[in-house]
Amino acid sequence: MTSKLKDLMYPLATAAAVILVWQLSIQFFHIPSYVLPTPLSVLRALETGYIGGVFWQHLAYTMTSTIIGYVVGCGLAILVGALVSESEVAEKLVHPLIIALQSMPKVALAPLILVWFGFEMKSKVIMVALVCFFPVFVNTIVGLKQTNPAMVDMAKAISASRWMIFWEIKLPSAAGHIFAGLQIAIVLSLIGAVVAEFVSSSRGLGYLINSAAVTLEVNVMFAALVSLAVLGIVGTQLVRYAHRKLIFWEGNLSSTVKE
Amino acid sequence: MASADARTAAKPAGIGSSAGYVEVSNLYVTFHTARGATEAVRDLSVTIEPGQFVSVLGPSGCGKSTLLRIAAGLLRPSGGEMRIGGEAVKGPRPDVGVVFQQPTLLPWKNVLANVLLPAKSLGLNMAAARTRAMDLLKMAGLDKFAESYPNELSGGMQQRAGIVRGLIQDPTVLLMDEPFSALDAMTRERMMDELQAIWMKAGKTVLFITHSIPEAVYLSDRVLVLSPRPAQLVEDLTIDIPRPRSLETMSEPGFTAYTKHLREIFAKLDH
Repeated sequence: MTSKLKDLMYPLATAAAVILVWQLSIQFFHIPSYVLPTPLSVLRALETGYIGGVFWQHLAYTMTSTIIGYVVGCGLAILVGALVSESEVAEKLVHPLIIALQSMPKVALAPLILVWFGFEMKSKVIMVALVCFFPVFVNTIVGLKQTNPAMVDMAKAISASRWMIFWEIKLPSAAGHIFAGLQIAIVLSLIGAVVAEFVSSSRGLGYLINSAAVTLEVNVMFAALVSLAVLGIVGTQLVRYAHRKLIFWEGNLSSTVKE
Repeated sequence: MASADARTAAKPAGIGSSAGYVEVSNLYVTFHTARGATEAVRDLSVTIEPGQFVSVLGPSGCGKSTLLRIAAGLLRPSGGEMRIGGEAVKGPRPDVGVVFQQPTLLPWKNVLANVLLPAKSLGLNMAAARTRAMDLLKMAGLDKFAESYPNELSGGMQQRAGIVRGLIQDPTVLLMDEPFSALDAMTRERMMDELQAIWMKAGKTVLFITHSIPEAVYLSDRVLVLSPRPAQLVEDLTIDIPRPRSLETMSEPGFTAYTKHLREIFAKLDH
């Protein structure tokens, strides 16, 4: 109990310090409110936005495209990753494509995707799925390849089918790596959604930031940023929780999670 | 060496004509690597009778494990053949159980599920296998840990679970690849004692790979000594010490005569 409370104390202290420095620098350096809003005005923007305001629909829009895109992108990544690591031919065929796409910033594809798939939800989902795909895909392959060969030998010696070896041994072996990929993907998914909304959208938190920038409502921009940060934190914690619950046999998780 | 009846008395009755027989005839194994061919086994022939506990002893890297991998159906010989129960080994078989050097238990399954894995992959009746698993776990002193996960067990307990897994499909032949080499000395001696008890109750043909001379003498009816690569049979020693053997047996003159004899053979192999 007390240690939990202490764990919570440190981030709260940091937040308080940041807000204090923020408030004080506005007063000391006379920063105008169209450049940097006061913490209080951001709070007020959040209040008016979420109580009877339009923020909920923007939040819902971004969340919808993020969640669908995340599930589709990560699901495909695990599936294709499994196929590629199980088939040598598939690996040789797909490998050069992966190398080419991996080093390219995926967000640069956003305008093209909007042209191809329209300006509505579909293009946002595809954008999110695309950015989520690679970290999960790569981690799936790495994880599956790291299966202890002694375990595979054991399975072969008991006449286990290829499917059984994959399902009962390789996939659980790779689960830790896959979750590390899922952790990276949750952060990338929000980036993908916001970038797609920046390019063209009539809704979403990305759109909200963009439109507030035009009217110089900096406090609304900050309110949208805070909303995005909360989404990111909640998503990351959910994935971390699922990791801990599902991959119970791997003791120290913090060391396996790459961020 | 006298009192051969002690050995035959330990053999279980009622084993079928060829079940449990392990015959190795003119076995050759050559590995082809980028740096050329390595001959691992050269013209090895040996017959193991049903219910015998036979150790294969040899310096590390002599091809002992290669022999076991062939018996397990994980590796094909380059020449000659291995027959188990009168049938040539062409792949993994339900009548052959394997215990590996590492326990290789799946950390995401509890002990019972781990032990039942061969029953699942071989498509056996799961209800019957479950009953058998509980009996075997009880025999191995693990019945209270059926629901535990491998990382909650000690190394010795994990290896015992590995042995139970090897016995679950009631094989006629049990292959064991240095199963105690990863354990500390104390656990190792206790495990030798327990393995002897399990073997005396289960009555399987056991092919036991080891590089420990006392371990081989303590456990075996027969000790086969292999030379360094390419592995050839240099000694086929029958151990006539009555069972059950205990840890005190290891300090008796009969026992030490065997270990001395085997050490001398090893010393010669080094040259």
